[in-house]
This record gives sequence, structure tokens and C-alpha cells, in this order.
Amino acid sequence: MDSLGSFEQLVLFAVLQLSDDAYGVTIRETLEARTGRAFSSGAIYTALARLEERGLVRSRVGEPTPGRAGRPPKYYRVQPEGARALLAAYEDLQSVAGGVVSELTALAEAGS
Amino acid sequence: MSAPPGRLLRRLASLLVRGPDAPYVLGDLEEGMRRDLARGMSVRRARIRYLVNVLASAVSLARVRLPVRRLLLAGPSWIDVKLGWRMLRKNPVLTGVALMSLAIGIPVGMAPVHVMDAFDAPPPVEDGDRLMGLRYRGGRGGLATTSYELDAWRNGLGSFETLSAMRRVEYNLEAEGGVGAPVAAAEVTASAFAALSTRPRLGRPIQAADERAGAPPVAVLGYDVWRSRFQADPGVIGSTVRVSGIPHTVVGVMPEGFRFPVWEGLWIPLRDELASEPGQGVPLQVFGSLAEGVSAATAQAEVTAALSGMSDHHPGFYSPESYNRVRVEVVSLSAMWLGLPKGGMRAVPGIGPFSALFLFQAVALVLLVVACVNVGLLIFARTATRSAELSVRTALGASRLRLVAQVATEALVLALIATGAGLMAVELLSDRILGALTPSWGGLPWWMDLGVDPTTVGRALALAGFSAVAAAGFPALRVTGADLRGNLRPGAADGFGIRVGRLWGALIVADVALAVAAVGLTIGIGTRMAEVASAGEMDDIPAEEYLAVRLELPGAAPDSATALERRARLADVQHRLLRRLRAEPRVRGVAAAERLPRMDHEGRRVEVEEGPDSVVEFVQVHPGFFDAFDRPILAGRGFDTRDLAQETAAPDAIHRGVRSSVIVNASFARELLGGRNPVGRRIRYVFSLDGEPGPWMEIVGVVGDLGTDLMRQDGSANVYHAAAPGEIDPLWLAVHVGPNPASFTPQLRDLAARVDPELLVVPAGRLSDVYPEGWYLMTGLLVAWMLFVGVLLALAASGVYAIMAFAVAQRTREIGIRTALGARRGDIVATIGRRAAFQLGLGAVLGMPVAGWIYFQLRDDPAATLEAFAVAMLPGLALIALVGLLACTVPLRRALRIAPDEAIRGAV
Repeated sequence: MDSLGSFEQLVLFAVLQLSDDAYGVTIRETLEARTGRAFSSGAIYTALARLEERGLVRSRVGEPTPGRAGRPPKYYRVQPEGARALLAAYEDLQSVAGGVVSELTALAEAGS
Repeated sequence: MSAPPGRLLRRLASLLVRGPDAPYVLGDLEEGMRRDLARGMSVRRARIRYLVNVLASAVSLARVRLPVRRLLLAGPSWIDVKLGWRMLRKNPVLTGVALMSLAIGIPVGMAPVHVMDAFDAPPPVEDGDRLMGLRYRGGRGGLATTSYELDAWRNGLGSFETLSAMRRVEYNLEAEGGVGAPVAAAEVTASAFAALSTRPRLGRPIQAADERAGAPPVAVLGYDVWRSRFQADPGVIGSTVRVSGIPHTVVGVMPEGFRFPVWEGLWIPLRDELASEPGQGVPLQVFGSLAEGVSAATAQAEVTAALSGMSDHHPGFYSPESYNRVRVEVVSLSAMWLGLPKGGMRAVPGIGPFSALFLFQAVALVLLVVACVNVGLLIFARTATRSAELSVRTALGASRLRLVAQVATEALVLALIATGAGLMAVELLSDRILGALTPSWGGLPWWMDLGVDPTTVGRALALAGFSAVAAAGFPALRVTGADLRGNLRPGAADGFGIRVGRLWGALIVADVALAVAAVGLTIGIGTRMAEVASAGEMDDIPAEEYLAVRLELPGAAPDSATALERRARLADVQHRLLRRLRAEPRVRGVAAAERLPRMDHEGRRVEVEEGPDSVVEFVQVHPGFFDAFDRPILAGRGFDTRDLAQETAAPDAIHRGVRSSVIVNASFARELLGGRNPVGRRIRYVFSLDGEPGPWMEIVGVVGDLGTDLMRQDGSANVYHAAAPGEIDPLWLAVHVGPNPASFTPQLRDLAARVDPELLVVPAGRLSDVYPEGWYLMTGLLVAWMLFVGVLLALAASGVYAIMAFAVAQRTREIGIRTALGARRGDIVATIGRRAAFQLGLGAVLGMPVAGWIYFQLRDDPAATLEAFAVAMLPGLALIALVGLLACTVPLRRALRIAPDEAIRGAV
């Protein structure tokens, strides 16, 4: 199984959070709201294209809604393959981080 | 006009974002921007974010098709850009002069369209371009829209999705336990907030339920008011404030920057009773959102048809006799607020068939062309010094196109740097320019923004490209068209044998002549303003000790049914406040009048019985007005209770001559009666409108001059009419309180609140700081002219510099040989400087008559003699001479530094 980049993991989590309402704008807003950081649309589209190419997400074209100049949104949904990859990445992170989170926190606070 | 992000940006996005996924990405970008705006982000920031996202998306989709890229690949190379940059750094003075020319020329060139776009922009809200106003136009008497029209249009028009109404008012806003202070407010229908689709920062907007009669009164605060009056307290929601004395519950706070429609800071529901007839009820401003897919033209057609239906129902009201040629216009919101023509600022008429925009734009582009010509000369001069380099490149096989591209790239680099500098200046100055415009316009729409946005950048880049081609095209073709190989032959002449043509010289002369004429104009306006200002200074009145205040009861103009009731209340309020004020220990006197000295006054032609007639300025004053200014009655008597004996309605008091006694000033006696005693004589007004003169009024007293209107020369003839409390609304007070009169404002507010919490007390500062409205316009015009003169002078200087630089470059060898042969420095300076001196002199000679003509047109008084003109022009001419001298200094220094051996070696 291919490994996921950290940004791809974030995008996959956002798509999962949004369930049936995951498209460019909502994904960006979810990422920004949850991380407090600004993301470029370009980066999100690149990540989504890559994930779709690898079969980790699948897209469908929705109906045009007001405020989009007549253009439809493209909705994304995480596929089982994507879920497995994300879970694996999450477990890797947890297992590597196990036991050092408190030390990590203390170190980070000491440096601030 | 188009909704955010705007047509241009949308087009750019469609061009850049390509590929199968483009429709979804473009839709996302559009939606993203609308969400940003709905969150309260400023339109400029949202547009910049949109542009950044467009670029990032285009790159990330990896299907970007940039026509510019292809052009760059086919045209000038990166090497050319680097070479151009190096050349610019090599000649810093020349580069500086050229940069200054373009940094002035490019922003000036795009300023008219930029400013008018800012005026005509729709509000930065979702579907802002669908928001349109409805107003009456044409017809006599100024027909106003009221709740009658709102109701008729709401029921009868299908072109509008929603129709809203609002009224701009001023109310005292008072927090619990505080003293009320006036705030600009708007009474609005709930639908207005829905149409504007801006979410409040806190709480909720006004809702339909708030409009109903009997609903609890609610208020929505503006961001600035929330911060300044409530210390940005988030707990303000649900609290009670008093608006004009009536308790209101605060239900919302709008986001920063939202000041709909102009600079309002408080919104309350509009609760008007429905008028059953047109013309009844208080005037409202009606606007709404066009239905999806309906154009303004379609709506206009429907509205016009609806008006004809209304005319059928009320033939008397809309009859040709009463309101001939009346029509209803569908206009943009900014056109409605600012009273602009239907087409907005772009449709403001200019001269003859040309619009003001066309004329301003034409002048601006002429200035840009002058700048380009100057830069062209500089490039010409520099390229001429590189004859050997270009010849070698030609000999090595470089094509002519290659060399032209190289010269053009240099100019483009120059233009791009100048554009960047110009745009930075625009961005830095935009708020100041808006601030300067505000007093003369009485407020601009809250969304108006003169700052740089992507459209501005696009226009500036286009002008930079134009400037580069205009400046470099001719020199590049001319230089590369010369016999370059011939330059490699021994003894070849410098500068490709090209001489500075007569056209260039004529342009410089015209430049200087224009600058001289403009200096004349500036001096004419400036000296007149200085004279007027000093004349209006009221030498013997300590104006800095008076607090100028406007008193007003809020609300719209009453109809006839409530007019008497309102007047009685006003009379009581004014009487009680004046009595309390005069009893204050700190107050030395209170002058109450329709207008105070220094303000604009109304003028009218007056006829003296068996005597001459002349235009005078008149004003209504309360008895005691002259005493408050320690202005003695020179003859006769002052106003007293005798003059107020007859009951009268204020607006007609003067016209009908009900109060048959007037007081005139000393200038009146001097100008109209040759200094004879006017007491006992009779005067009457002559109305041009209906030809019937007014009734005779008796002059009962003469008072010393007070200086009524700052904009007029001292000694204007004035007529004073007596008015009782309640007859003047709004009433101006000049309260004599001694030093630092502004410190008396809280006390005055307190007194007013105790008399009537609704009474608005609007301080205008010290009387010495009060200026008439026209003053701001004049000052603004003067500043604009000064800038224009500055631009002309700078361009003239760069032109003279360019000519000199070229002359030196062309004659390098000649100067070298002459120096080697023993020529003195003075001779060299004379040879080179002769041309500049001639051009400066000729320009001044041609410009002086024009300057004189303008000066004498503006100064129609005996003090304006030829000697006075010459003295006034001297500093201006000296300035132009200095600029010319500075422009010559650098090239002359270079000429004198030419080493003879180097020059001769090059010639061998």
C-alpha cells in the first residue's frame, strides 16, 4: 500500500468529516476551521486529483447551486482503499508517538 | 458592472484555469469568494484571495495555457531583461528621471477610469450588481418616492425579487445612564438587510416582525458605534439603548466597514403608515434586488409601464401641468445616493457631446503620451551612446528584430518598475484622497474604494506595455534602422547621425508653456482664496471663543397636518434651551440664526424704494444675535419683541414679508445707498421666478459688518430678518464661552437632554473652524490643480533633461575635440545650454499670455494690475527656471567631464 503524505491525510480526514458534502470549498473551509491555517485551493485540487488517481477517493458531479455562476460542484467520497490507507497512516503515527506525547508537549512548551 | 469577483477577474480565471476539472474548480472559486464576502471580508481582500486561488489552481491543475508565456518565449529573452536592468542601474540619474515620468504618467493615465469605476461599483455583497434603486426624475417640484410608491411597486413589479426602502436620519443614541449624542442612522425595511446579505458580526439583523406596529423597538449598531460608544462589549446584545429618547433593544452589531448606505452607524426598523395617495408621507429611498435573469433595461421598461398605470389612477398628481415629463429611473445604488445621472459617473456630462470621463481621460492620456515622449527621448539618448555595442552585435549576426526587442525590453523593465511605484503610491494615498473627497460630497457610499485591486493592476500593466511601446518604439526602430555597420568604420559620427527633430523641441516648448499657464491659474485661484480667507477672518470677533452648534429635531419634514404641532414643540424646546444656556455662568452670549457668519448664505436681488437694486445675502436671526457678537447697532435699533409680534410660519416669513422690519449692515448702506442713512427706507425682494416683487419691508437698524460668507469678498451687503424660537429648523448657535469652547459640548448636550432627549446637538467646532461647503470644493480643486501643475513641471523638467542628455551624447566627440583644442568651459556650457535656454524661454513667452488671461479672468478687481500679476508670477517662473536648470546640470557636468583623449581616440 502506498503511503500518504501529511497533507493528503488532512484532506482525506476532511472529506470523511464532510460525508456527502465534500467538495472544493467545503474541504478548504473545514481544513481552515480545524487547523487555523490558510490553505490554497490549488494544493487541495492537486491532492484530490492524486488521491482519485490512486483510487483512494471517488468523485461525482453534483447539481449546479446558486452562487457558483451556474457551475456544478464535484463531490468526493473516501473509498475503502482510502480508508485503509488513512487508518494505516493514523495507526503508524499513534504507534510511533506512543509514550512520548507528554514529553513532546513539555518540550514544545519549554521552547515557547 | 458585475458581481464580485467582477467580469474581468472571472474572465481571467476562465483563461487560466483549464482542463476537464475547470468548471468545478471555477465554481468552487466563485462560491469561495461569496462565502468570504458573507463573512464580512472586504471586497478587495476577497478579490485578492480569489486571484491567488485562481493562480494556485491553474498551476496545480497543470494545464495552464499562458499566452504571455508563448509571447515571452518568442520575443525578448531573459538575457534582455537582465541587460535592461543592468543598463538602468548604469545610468541612475537618467533612469530616475524616466521612472519619475512614467510613475507619474501611468497612474495619471488610468486615474479617470479608476475613480469613476470606484464611484460606479456595486455594493460588495452577494449579487450586489442586481441591487438597483428606483427614483423619480424630471418634473417640477422634485417628486419624492414614499410608502405609496413602495407599496405600488412591491405589488406591481415582477422584475424585482425584493423591494426595500430606507430613510437616512440623525438620532441621539444614548447608552443606559449616559448622555445622548447624535449618530447617523437609517430607518430600513427588514428586506433591505436580506437584500444586502451581510451577516451581522453579533446577533441578528432587522427582521420582518420588527417592522410591525406594536413590535418592541429594536436597533442594530454599526461596528464603529459599537466600539466607540459601547467599548466593543459583546454583551451589548439584548441591552437597552435610547434612540431619540425611546428605549430600543440592541439585537445586532454589523461587521467592520458596513455603513449602509453611506456612513450610517445605527439601523432601526422603518415603520411607515401606508400612504393612500402619491406625494403623501415622508420621502423614502426605494431600492431592491432584480429577479434572477432580469436586466436593468427590462426592469426599466416594466417600471415605465407601471408609471403610466399610476398616472391613470391619479391623473391630477401626475398630470403634465404638475409634473411634466416625470419618469421613474432604475439606477445603481451609488447613482441614487450621490444623485448621479442614470449611467452613473461615466454618464456625467462634460462639454458638448463629450462626457466628463472622456474629457478627463483624454487629458490624462495626453499627459501619459507627454511622459512617454520624454522617456523616448531619454532612451534615444542612451541608445545613441551604445552605437558601438549595437554595431558589433549586428556584425555578429543579430537581426534588427533582436535589437528592437532588446531596446523595447529595457523600456518595459522601466515601465514595470514605474508601474509598481505608481501603484504603491495610489494604494498609500487612496484613503487620504477619499477622506479629502468626503466633506465636499457629504459622504460617499461605504463600499467605495480607490485602492489597488486586480483590475487596477491589469490596467496599469496594459498602460505599462503601451508606454514601453510608445517610448521605445520610435527610438528602437530609428536607431536600429541606421547604418550600424557604418559605425564600425573609422571616423564615423556619433549618434547614428540622428538629430533631435523639431517635433521633440516643440513638445518641450509646449510642455513648459503649459506649466507656465498652469502656474498662472494656480496663483490666480490661490491668491483669491487667501484674500477671501483673510477677509472672512472677522478681525474684531474672537471667533475661536465661540462654539458653533447645530440644533435639530430629528425626523422627516412634517406634512401640513403635523407642521403646527411640531413647530409649537420646536418653539418650546428652543426657547427653554436658549434660556438655560444664557443662564450658564460660563456662557457670555448666545447667537441663534439660520446660518452663522462664515457659512454659505442665501442670496437674492433686493430693490431699494426709489433707489438701485443689487444682490444681497439674507439670513434670519433671533433677537440678541448682534449682542452675542458685541456688534453695536450703528443707527436705528436692534430687533426686539415688536418685530416678532406677528405670528408667522418660518419658511414664508421672508417671502411674504410678514415681518415688515429688517436690519441691514454697513456695507449695504455704503453699496446701495452711497453711505446715506438707510433707517426708515423701504426695500423689497425681486423674485425672478414669477416676476412679482415681494412686499415692502422697512429698515429699522444698521449694524456693523459681520462677514457672512467666507467665500465672498468682505463687505457684502446683508439683510437680517427677525425670527422667533421655533421658526428656524435647524437652528445654528454660536455660544460664546471663552477659550477652548469645545470643552463646553458635554455640558450643552446635558442641558439639551434635560430639555428634550430627542433634540440633536451637533457641534461643528469653534466658529473660527467653520467653513462653508464650497470651501472644501475650492480647496480640493486647488490641491488638484497644484498636483496637475506639479505633473506638468516634472514632465517639462524631464523633457528638458532628455533634450540636454541627447545633445551631449550626440556631441561627445565634438566636445572632446573642442576641449583638446583649448575651448573654455564657459564656451562648452554655452553651446550645450543654448538649446535648453531657448526652449525654456520660448515656452515661458508662449505660456505667459495664457497665464495672464487666466489670472485676470479670476481676479476681477482693481487690485489685479499688470504689476501685481508680474509679482505674483515671479515665484512660479523662478520655479520653472530652477527646474530647467536642475534638468541641465547633470548633462552639462557630463559634457565637461569628457576626456579629450578618449573622445578623439573614439574618432580615429
